[in-house]
Amino acid sequence: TPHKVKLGVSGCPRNCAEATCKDVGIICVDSGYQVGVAGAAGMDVKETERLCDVATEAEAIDVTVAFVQLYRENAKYLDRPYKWVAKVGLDWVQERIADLDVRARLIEAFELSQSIYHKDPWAEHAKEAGRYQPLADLTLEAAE
Amino acid sequence: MSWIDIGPVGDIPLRGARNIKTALGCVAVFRTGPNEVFAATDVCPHKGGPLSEGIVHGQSVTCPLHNWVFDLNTGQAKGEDGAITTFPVRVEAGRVLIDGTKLSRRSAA
Repeated sequence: TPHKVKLGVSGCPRNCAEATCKDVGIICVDSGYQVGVAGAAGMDVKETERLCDVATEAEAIDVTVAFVQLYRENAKYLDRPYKWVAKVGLDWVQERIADLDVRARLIEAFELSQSIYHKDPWAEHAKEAGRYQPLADLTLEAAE
Repeated sequence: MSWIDIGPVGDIPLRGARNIKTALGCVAVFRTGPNEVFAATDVCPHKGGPLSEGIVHGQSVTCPLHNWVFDLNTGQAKGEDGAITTFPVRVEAGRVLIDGTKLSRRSAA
């Protein structure tokens, strides 16, 4: 990512996770999920702008991934998302995320970029666990 | 001499060892490079390290904790004061057989 991305999810409108000052903040409400982007809470303090409202958790994740990939592809190095959205305009971002084809392409590009990190050496080694078990158990004695 | 079948030789990694549980504690069964098989107690007499997790070289095994080297034929430690009990073991038709008489708990005489 061009610069750090801080995420926050609040389970209810009480917003204890303070999702309204995050780069991507999701607040769960009765009707679904409100996805906000471009917040700031450092030297600048800025509230998130509503990217979209979605109904399902899967779609909320999709929208988040698509936004992060759009940010990765288009922002200048060292620009936080709020700086980038101020530069390109929230409308431009919303158009790209609302178009399902573009969203799908962004999600696919993100998955591809992360696929090389999905290697788990411990899981591979755990498959050989049988090699470390005792070869035989001779403590059981036959009943006389 | 009652020979107990433990398992196939192929199950023991080359230049490595596997454990077996017995009434006397764990016994490590070693397989050396030229496919010879030895068996000895798994517990190092120094501080109780697992010899089955040690490096097997030639006909000796090195304890992974403090580098005590044991000769697998006699059980004597090289350069240290200590020995491990070895057990007679042989390979027959690809199966490992260990002598069962030494492995049972001795009855109070």
